[in-house]
Amino acid sequence: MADFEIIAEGTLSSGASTISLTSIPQTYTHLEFQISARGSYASAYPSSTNMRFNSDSGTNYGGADGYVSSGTPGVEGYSLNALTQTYYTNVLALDSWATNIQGVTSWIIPNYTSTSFAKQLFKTGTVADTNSIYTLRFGSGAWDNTAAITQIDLLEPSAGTEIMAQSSYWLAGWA
Amino acid sequence: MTITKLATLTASGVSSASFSGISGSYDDLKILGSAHTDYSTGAANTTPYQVMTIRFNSDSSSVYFVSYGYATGTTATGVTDGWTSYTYSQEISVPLAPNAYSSQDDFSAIEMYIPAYSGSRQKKCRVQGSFMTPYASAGGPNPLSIMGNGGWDNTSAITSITFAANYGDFVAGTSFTLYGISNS
Repeated sequence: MADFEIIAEGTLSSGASTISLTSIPQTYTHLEFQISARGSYASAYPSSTNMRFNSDSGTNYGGADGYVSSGTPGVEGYSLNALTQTYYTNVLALDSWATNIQGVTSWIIPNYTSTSFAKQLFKTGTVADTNSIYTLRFGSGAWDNTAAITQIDLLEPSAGTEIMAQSSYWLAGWA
Repeated sequence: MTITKLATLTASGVSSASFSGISGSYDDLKILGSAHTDYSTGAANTTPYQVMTIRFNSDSSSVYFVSYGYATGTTATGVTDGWTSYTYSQEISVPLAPNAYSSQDDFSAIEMYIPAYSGSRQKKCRVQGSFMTPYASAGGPNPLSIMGNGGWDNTSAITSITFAANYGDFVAGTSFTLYGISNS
């Protein structure tokens, strides 16, 4: 096993409401996930994705982000056990933007195989369009569960919307 | 690019732990890890976390600097963002170690990246991370994220890295993994 390996990767040929990464090997120490994506959500602001682990849709997640969006700084978030998925990324390029723009988000998930501790992640993301809408975000996320992470579902921006075609992603393991 | 796992560091019942004997044969270093401390009394008891300090080559002179943006709190109970900077510091200090006022199974997520760590210039690093706690702490819900940079105003190659809690000890489950990154 190499000390850094791509576990799964792909490019969507058509829009998807969920990207599911199943049967994640338990042979690494840490996970890193990155996506370059557009979302079909109609909004004046960048769209979003969020994570769910091991198909747990209970209110067992939380997260808080700091951001700078078009020059305005701020923070928003929810305490642990307040969300049914990790907090939104808010950096997906919109369908209404130029088609060659994607937003990028990276997640780090340390010690994902632990069965003793809740899971904590750190994420960074950025996107900019041609109309001076630009966003940089960094934030926390947590899943209040001590189970090892064996599945990651990356969820649609909001109900009825999609992560759009040509969005690409990879999941890597750090030894 | 080639990535090599160099060492794993665990810390339990100690206030500090170090990677030592770091080879200079890579281009950059990367560290991923998690931390939690046992501190529960004194000045820190209004917040559910401790400051974690980072030193290179055991140097405790005032030649470090750090600057990071932070976001903390929740939309429901109030949020705060801001910027913290220290210069001429004796270590790189970051608030990434939940303490005894956090739930005992909540650890931080930590990432550091140190480019050109063996070069002859001043050393810089990216340091970022986060943690979350439920309502159990004296400080209430207090998710926190930081994204920042630090530095060591020294031209020596980095051969050791020490992580320390400013109060109390690290508890079992605290761990750091060190990777060497070769760009060719």
